[in-house]
Amino acid sequence: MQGVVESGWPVELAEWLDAAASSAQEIASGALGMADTRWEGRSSGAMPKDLCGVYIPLLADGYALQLGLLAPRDTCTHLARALLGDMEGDAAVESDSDVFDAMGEITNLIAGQLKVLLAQKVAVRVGVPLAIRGRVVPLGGSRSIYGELHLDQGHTWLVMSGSRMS
Amino acid sequence: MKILIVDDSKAMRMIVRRTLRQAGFGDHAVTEANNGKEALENVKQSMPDLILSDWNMPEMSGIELLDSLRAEGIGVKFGFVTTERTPEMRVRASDAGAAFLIVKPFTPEDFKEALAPLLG
Repeated sequence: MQGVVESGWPVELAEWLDAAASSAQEIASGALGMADTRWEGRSSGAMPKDLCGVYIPLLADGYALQLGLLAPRDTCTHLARALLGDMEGDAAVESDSDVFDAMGEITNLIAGQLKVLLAQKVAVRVGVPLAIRGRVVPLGGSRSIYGELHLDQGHTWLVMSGSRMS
Repeated sequence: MKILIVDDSKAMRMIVRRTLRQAGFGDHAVTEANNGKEALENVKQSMPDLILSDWNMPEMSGIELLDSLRAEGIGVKFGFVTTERTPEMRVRASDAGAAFLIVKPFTPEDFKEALAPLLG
């Protein structure tokens, strides 16, 4: 837990990450129809550098957090297609804008579930998703932890960053 | 009848359209808006019979859209399709004049249950 425990936080960052993983697994097995979801837990290893995905802001009782869902580009496409399912008459999901739009919605669903999971401990406000390429480097004063989540054949990374608002 | 879908996600607008069809509301005319501000302009040009709106959107949120509509005396039927599901949000939506709140992810049955009393 080194580097994670922040005295006075209503919910520790590691608990946020675990709750995000539970939420992501529920959304993956439900809305995305994935049969195999596996959370590897918090990682201390390096994340791949060729990742892209979406961050979504979470505001909670004086704390500003960012939940990130990152993956290689082909896995992002796979996730986007899983969300959209069989869209008769609609073009295949290929472009960056379509893929990241769908990734944003997936992250939004995860954040909504996360909000419910932690509702007994903290009130969370969810912001608007932001698509990125690569991992966001935590700015001064913020902490960041992450872990790997397997979704069917795809490898994704959940990132939780946070800092106390001044 | 005319249904206006308001969501900043193109993917979610597509999913809502598909779910409307799956729920048996496929014969209604459907239009779309990216956010509350665009929806407000849309409403003033062509009044829909029902608005299905996300809550969290840039420019103007769903609740700001609903508040603006009611402030202008526009009583169009309005429902939220959102990840927001806390009791506080439900009360806020109901107090503002929303007829229902459908939680994402949703099923066609959720749409039938919420929309049938309004659309028949």
